[in-house]
Amino acid sequence: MNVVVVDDDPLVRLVLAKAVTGLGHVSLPAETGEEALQLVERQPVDVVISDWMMPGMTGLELCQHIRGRDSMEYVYFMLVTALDDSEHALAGIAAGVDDCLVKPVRPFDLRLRLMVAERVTDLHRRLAERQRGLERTNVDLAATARQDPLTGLGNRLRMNEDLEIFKSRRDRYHEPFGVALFDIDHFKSLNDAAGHQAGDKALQRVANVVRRQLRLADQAYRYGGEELLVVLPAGVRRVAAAADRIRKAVEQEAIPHPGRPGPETVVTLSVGVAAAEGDIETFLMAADAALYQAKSQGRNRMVVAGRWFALPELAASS
Amino acid sequence: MREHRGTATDIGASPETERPPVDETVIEQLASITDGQGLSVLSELLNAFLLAVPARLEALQTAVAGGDLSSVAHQAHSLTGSAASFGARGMADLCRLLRAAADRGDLGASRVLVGAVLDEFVRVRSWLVAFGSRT
Repeated sequence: MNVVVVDDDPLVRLVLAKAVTGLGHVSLPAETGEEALQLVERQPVDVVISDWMMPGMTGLELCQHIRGRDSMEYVYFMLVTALDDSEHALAGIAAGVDDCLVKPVRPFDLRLRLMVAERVTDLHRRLAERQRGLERTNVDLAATARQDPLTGLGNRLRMNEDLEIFKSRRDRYHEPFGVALFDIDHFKSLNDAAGHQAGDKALQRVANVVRRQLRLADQAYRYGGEELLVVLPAGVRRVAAAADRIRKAVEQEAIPHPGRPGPETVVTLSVGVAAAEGDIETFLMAADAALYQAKSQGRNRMVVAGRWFALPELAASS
Repeated sequence: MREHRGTATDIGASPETERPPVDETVIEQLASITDGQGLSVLSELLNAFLLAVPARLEALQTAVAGGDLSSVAHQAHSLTGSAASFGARGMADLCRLLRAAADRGDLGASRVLVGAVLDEFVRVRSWLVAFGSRT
């Protein structure tokens, strides 16, 4: 162990330091509490053996400083008091001291106390390690709990949390955003003709195309069975442009769609777009209604909810 | 320091002293401290004690001669710890009394006690030297 030995008396310090070294530990002698604190801050220290009465910082103050640090590493603190000083010993233990030794310290006593100190610091170290492990697991679990395992996109939980954040930014900083709700056309026929595994595969490929089309601030989620929601921090015109770009990219990916009715043979998407106005529920319903319209108008197309402006550039290109 | 040496040596050598100036069990404990090779560091510790204390006693004399009682109190406290660590109980007790005298501002008692501490150290030194030649 690394053991800091603090005493203003050079001879007492020498005896303690020699005893600590003789027991196989590394002794770090300090003349004052201030010096000891610097040692503790500069390197890993397992134990501090400190005199109570010293000019400047007392042993008790040193202990309080060490306990006040924001550190996971535990420092075992031993206070050395005079024989008739049970009051100081009591105050010390109450203030965070682990053990009290009586002056003059007998080397054999020191050996016993350091064995205890080693056991306690080892326990603290293992607890700190376990704590760090748990924190890592928690972070991993939190991410896993918010991810759709099939597509790797965010799930509904993640979507709900993110939408709240988007919404609060919109309300506070007037940052507009919009949503695009995608649905794979005739997905049931794909599952029926080629099996659910083929359906899952197609869904994964669609998700990959969507992911590639997103910019850093955009988010995509698996909304339901074969429905994906994309959230983009932009005005509805740009949201619509991005949504239609995604729709075309999926079509160009030419993912086979066995069993599909009609002339098409590849996977296509219908999409409903809505500006995020009002409550979350309100604009999600608007996007859903627009998606329904896109379906009923013949699929593989986009409809923008409550469109009160023209989108000539989109109309011309589709 | 020097002016006390004559008397002190007489006391240290006097055979009628009942209690030895040094508690041998403490020295035995110090003898159990070893270095990295498992060898006792006792002689190193005793040498450090015998070398360091005279200079500190001189400083104590200077402080009491100058009437600096707060310095006397501080030094006496520090010497208490040193003496006790080496088993010099009588010297530690005298240092404790000196500290108390200095704390209550009693310069006369402080002077007397500094003299007593010096005398006691000479006894301690003789004992340690004799112990060293015995082992």
